[in-house]
Amino acid sequence: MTCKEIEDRLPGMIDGALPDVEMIRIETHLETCAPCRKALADLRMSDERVKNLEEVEPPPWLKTRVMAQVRQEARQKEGILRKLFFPLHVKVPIQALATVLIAFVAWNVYKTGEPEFRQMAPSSTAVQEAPRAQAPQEPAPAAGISKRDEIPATREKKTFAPPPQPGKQAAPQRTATLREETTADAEKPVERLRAAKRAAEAPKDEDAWKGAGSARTAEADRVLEAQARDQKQKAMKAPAGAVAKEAGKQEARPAASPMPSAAALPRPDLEVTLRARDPGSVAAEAETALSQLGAQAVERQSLEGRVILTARIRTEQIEVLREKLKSLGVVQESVQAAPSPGGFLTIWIEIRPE
Amino acid sequence: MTDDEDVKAVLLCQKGDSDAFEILVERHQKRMLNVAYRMLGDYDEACDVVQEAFLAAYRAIRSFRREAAFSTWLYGIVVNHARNRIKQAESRLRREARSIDDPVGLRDGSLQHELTDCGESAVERLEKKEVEARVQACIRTLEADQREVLILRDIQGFSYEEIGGMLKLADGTVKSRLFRARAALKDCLVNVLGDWP
Repeated sequence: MTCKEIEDRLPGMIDGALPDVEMIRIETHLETCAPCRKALADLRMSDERVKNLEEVEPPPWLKTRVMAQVRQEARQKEGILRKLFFPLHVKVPIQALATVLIAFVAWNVYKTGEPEFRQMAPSSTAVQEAPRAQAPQEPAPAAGISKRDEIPATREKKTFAPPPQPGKQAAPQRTATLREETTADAEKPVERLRAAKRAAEAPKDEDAWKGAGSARTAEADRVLEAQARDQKQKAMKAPAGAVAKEAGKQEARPAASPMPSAAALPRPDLEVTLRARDPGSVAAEAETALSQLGAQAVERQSLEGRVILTARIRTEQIEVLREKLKSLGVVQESVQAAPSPGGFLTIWIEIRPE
Repeated sequence: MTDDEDVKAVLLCQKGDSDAFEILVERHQKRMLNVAYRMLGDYDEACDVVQEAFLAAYRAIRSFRREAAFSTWLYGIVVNHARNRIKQAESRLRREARSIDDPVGLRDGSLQHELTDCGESAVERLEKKEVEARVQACIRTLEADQREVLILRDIQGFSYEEIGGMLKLADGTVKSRLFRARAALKDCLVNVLGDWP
């Protein structure tokens, strides 16, 4: 080892940081090398000077300041929760008031929109409608419970059937299909009603099929409707121009209109307003009564919580119908045209919630 | 000073007990101040740096995982803050282009000569504080990385392993920096103070 190499390693001799082998080798060299011994002595003295440096004392305020900053930091961390909930005697009443206010607004919103909510909800009256319309001794095949398996098959057939071709050829095929579907449920009162209606409309079938395609879709939907499945769909599609055409009135509505306004309907001979607690179920009973009285072209619409029934009924049956309606709710009526004996009247029944 | 006491206080702090941090401040403030003071050479600045370091440690205490001793982690923070303060001061000095009692100027021969002259003529009369001031001045002449290692090892007595943990350095790197620092300091002190009595 040269003196330069020894000098590079000498600092390691101060605290014994060198391996033993090197320590021995350096010590051997130092025995014979005065300059290296001097260098080591200088290093030891330097080390002693450094180690003897007096320590400085922290000022008394250092800890106080540090802890003040630390506590401020801690307060900021929990600040959000504190801001929300403390002081309790101020915040709790505010929060309670806010809760009450929110509950009140929510209740008001629900109350205002209740009819819409009822319409949007799956209709229970649709399920109940068919059994109620049936003779008491009959089972309820149309309710979709005991013959549930058959109904989806029929539906599926219609869902995937090609759209009807415009023109006269489609009409017999369609009629045949519908007849097949309705054969199984021939005894259902609603279907009997539809059959009667179709019979009444028979002379006008050709005109009907010449109309908009949606009118034919509406007829298919009425078959679905007879299975008491989709109350809302029925309300939306059933009146698609059929009433207007059948009645032969001048104010035919657009066939595609999903929710025709009352103003678009033909002018009735008799308008009846019926106020009832549950317009849906009352409408179903009124509809049954109409069919039992041999009414024709019975149509039903739901509109903003109201249910509107239109039909053509024999003048002689008016009194019986009037009595029936009175048994269902509070009746108001206005006669628009004088009834002619032996003829038909166009009747408009609007069922409103009480 | 035991690590167990540190661990208890750290756990309390991690659970949100900010008062427990006072224990840690009490236990480490003096040593931290001396590390910062030897690095900066200015007492007031050292106090500022220690405050900053403690606050930074408190903010980060939830992330302390006890993989090393708390003291190792804490002194690493104060060394970092002191190092940053030195860099800021150096850049400020460069901007102002003037010396403010700057021992770094020892590197240029004139100031070193002045100190040497002063030392040679008055070395025997120097009181202890004056000698210490010169030793401190020599420490400030060291490269920053060498100075840190020398302060931590030879003044504060940390082990090589602890220093490696604080500065994130391998043992070999710590040793080589320390050896160079010792040799440079010895040369400076011999120049400033002359031969040892």
